[in-house]
Amino acid sequence: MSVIKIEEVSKLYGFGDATTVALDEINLSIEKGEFIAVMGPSGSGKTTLMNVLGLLDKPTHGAYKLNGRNVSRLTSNRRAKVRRDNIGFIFQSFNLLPKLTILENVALPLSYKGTRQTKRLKAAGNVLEQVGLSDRESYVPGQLSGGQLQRAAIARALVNNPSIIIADEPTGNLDSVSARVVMELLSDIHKLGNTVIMVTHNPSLTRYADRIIYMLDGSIVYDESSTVGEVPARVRRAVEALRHSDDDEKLANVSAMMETIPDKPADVELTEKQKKRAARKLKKARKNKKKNGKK
Amino acid sequence: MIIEYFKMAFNSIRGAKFRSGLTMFGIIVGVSSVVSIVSLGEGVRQQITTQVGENSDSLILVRPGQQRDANAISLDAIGSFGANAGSLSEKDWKDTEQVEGVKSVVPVGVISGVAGYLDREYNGTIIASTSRLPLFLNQKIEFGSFFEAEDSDKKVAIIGREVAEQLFAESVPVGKRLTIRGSQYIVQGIFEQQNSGTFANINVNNSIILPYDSAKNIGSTIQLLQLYVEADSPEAVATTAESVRMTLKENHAGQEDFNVLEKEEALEATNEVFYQLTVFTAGVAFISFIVGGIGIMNIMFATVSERTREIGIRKAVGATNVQILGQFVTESIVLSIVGGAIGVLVSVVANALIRVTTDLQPIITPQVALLVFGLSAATGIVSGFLPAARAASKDPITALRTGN
Repeated sequence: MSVIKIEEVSKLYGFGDATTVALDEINLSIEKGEFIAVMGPSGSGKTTLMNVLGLLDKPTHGAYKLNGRNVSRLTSNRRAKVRRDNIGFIFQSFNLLPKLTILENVALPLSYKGTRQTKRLKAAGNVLEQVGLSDRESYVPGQLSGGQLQRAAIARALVNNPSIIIADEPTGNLDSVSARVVMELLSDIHKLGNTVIMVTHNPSLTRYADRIIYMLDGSIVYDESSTVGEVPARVRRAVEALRHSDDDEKLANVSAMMETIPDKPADVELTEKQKKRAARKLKKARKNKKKNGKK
Repeated sequence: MIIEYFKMAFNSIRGAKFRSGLTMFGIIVGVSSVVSIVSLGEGVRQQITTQVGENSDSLILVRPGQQRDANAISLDAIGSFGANAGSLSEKDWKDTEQVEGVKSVVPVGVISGVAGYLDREYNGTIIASTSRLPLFLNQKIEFGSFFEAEDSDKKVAIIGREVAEQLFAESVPVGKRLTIRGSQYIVQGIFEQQNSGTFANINVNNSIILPYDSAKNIGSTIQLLQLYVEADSPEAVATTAESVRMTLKENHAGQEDFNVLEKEEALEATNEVFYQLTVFTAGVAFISFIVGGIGIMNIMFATVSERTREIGIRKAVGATNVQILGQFVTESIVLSIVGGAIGVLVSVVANALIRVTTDLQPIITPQVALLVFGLSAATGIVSGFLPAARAASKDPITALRTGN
């Protein structure tokens, strides 16, 4: 059984003429133990997808089954509980609470579960050992380096044994050495059997993933398996294409690269009716986008 | 989870000591002033009530003057009775003793005069009474003793603390002689310091108490200001008081130019004053709690918007809306309860100062302390709820995007 199965999930913002389609009838299923890299230009709906998968947000349409349970229509309190028990978040900006010690930060999800203090601090200590931060338990976030903070954040995401770990550009704020340490750690966690979904702009990070999803304008346009340790040919080509470009700005903005990528439609099987509807929506959304742009 | 909330609350208050202090200021001022006023009132009330003495339940007071004057008595000087004085006579006293149900009658009269010692003079209240007076005063003799019934014509005097210090300039002038209207009286006893206004309208501190007969013998007119009538039993008080009233009315040719008061009636004036004081205090308390509460609400709103990102993080790791609400309401409750506790402490210190510097004995009763704590907590809940609800309703995605 899939850990995550979403069917025709859409997310719309605004209403009337100002409606923006952030997710456009997406179908996706994720099996236990996968490491998925989600790529796509800014505004392609990656983060919205993460928010929906992480139950921070409700889909406007469609069904979302987490561990076989339909969670697309839960109240916000219920969603919070599912989040607490099933999902670990890793953010670009770490998002640790500055006034709590690292140990307390890591134990935080358990405190909302009602785990007793001694028990949860012990659990937090164990996870911190796993990420190699045992000697920093009693520090506050301000005293740690970026790489250490992200490892602490990973520990926090792991502490409640989640079904999925959602990482939104986990290395975005890190130097290359720290980024490598963090990615190796994520990779180790993946090897232990955890399911990881990671949003990234950095093509070279796709080598840690065993499945790569490209998004464009709220749709999954490309979804392929890859071998861990290798950057897929498609990504490599894109990077090379960019290198030959003399547009330096484009080189800096890696997300721009994504526009050059796929011409092949998503692997997902769609019925004719669905395709038409999707096309219509997409057209409308683009029209709106243009209109708003003109304003 | 509740323990968790309190820990979080204490942590965040500790993290912003100065701001929390300012926030609590309103509550501290409100609580300390209210507790001080109430405890002052309570202290005075208790002092006056205990002044009545142990057999107070069967006590009836007879005073000269119209009924309405009973509520106009001043707490202090017996001299203020001047205007009403004179309508009670010795005959009234003796007749009252004969009334059925009356166990004993103790007269309180004053004579005019000045007490002298060596070349000093003291203008106090010279009271003529009988040996049973101490039963109604509830005021201890510190040195020496009160005179006995058989000493009624002896020239002895019992004096108050102020008389001892100002006339004799010493603390224990037992055995010394003072002069009143040319007669010498030996000091037989000294009252201990009296600390408040009295139920009986006698300030013993500046009084010189003489046996009734001997005071009469030195040729002065005794103005009877009060008769303490002791009924046989507390149950008989009402009927006895009625009988006394009838007897006196007869004596006064049908004129009711006197008051017969049972204990409760006599205390009524005092209680009325304190009732009004309590109402006033309650008003002040209410206002100060509202002001304090608004202060807390204000700061809580600021705190909530300042900590938007924290709220986002907490929600992302699984805090429910209810848990966020609980956290912030608890914080506000802790602020107001700590403020209340500090307020009580401040008023304890203020009370200690009042005790040292004045004759008043303020008392903080557990009820008042509990009430104030309850009110503080209620203020915390009420003023914290709206900000906490705002915190709880924040969208985690937007909250996480907030930079700080």
